[in-house]
Amino acid sequence: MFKRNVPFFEYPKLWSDDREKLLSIIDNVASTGGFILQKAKHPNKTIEEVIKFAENQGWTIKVNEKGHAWGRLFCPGGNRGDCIISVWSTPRVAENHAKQIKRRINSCEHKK
Amino acid sequence: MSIKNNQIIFNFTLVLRGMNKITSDLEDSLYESGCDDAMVHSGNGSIYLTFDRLGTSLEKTVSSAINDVEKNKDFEVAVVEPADYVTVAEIARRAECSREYIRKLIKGERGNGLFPSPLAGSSSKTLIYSWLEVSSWLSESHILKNNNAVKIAKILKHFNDQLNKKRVLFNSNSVKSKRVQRI
Repeated sequence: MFKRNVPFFEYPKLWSDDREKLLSIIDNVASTGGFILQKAKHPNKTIEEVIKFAENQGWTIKVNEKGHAWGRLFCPGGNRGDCIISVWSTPRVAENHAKQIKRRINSCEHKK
Repeated sequence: MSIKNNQIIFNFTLVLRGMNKITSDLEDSLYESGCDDAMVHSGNGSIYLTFDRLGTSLEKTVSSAINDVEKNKDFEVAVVEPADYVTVAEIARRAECSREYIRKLIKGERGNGLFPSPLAGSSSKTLIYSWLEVSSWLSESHILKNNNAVKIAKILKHFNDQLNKKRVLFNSNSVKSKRVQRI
């Protein structure tokens, strides 16, 4: 019987050969915030637009790890007024929730 | 306020008593008790729930929101906003007039000169008025553009009076129980 010798593909070698190159790609993406931006996207389009609006107004975003609230928005005033908005993951009516958030951002007195 | 399928969306805000920090437990508890139509936010040392709630009447809608919040025994509603106590700047904002115009009405330089007296602040810089009294007078003087303002002011003042009464009763009961403990 003819026996063919097929070498097993060496996966660890594939990593070790290009280790530096592959790590530099991850470092590049993460250091420009690409990783964080990907994570901070709200599943609802209308709310996501308002969150972008908040960012443009100088608000910062902190995404919750678990729970009904998707995350919190912090006003540019920092500790001065402690303006914080909770954003639901699945509000009763997404459009209304987006409007509420926008109204609150516009009425905040600690603008940029 | 906007109308949808014969129901109206009412906008109002509830202020939580004795709480100033938004936590995950607070968010989850409020969401699970049916406040998913409210935006939880904080500012100036208080936590607020701004509702956009669909209902048939303001009384029923505010009442259902308070009940939802207070399903959790740790939460207590302190005030329903827009509340009755207003400054000159707030009167101008609610009546959609300039502050200068409101000042002229107060001084009697405009209008019939019978602007309601302030509730407090006469000896300090900031005068506090009752929005129910002011909105009634503005409506009678045909200055107020929103015809429903007086009706809304009356309902919300009623809720705030009730919440205040509850607080006074609770405080007097806790004082009594402390006295009993001492005895």
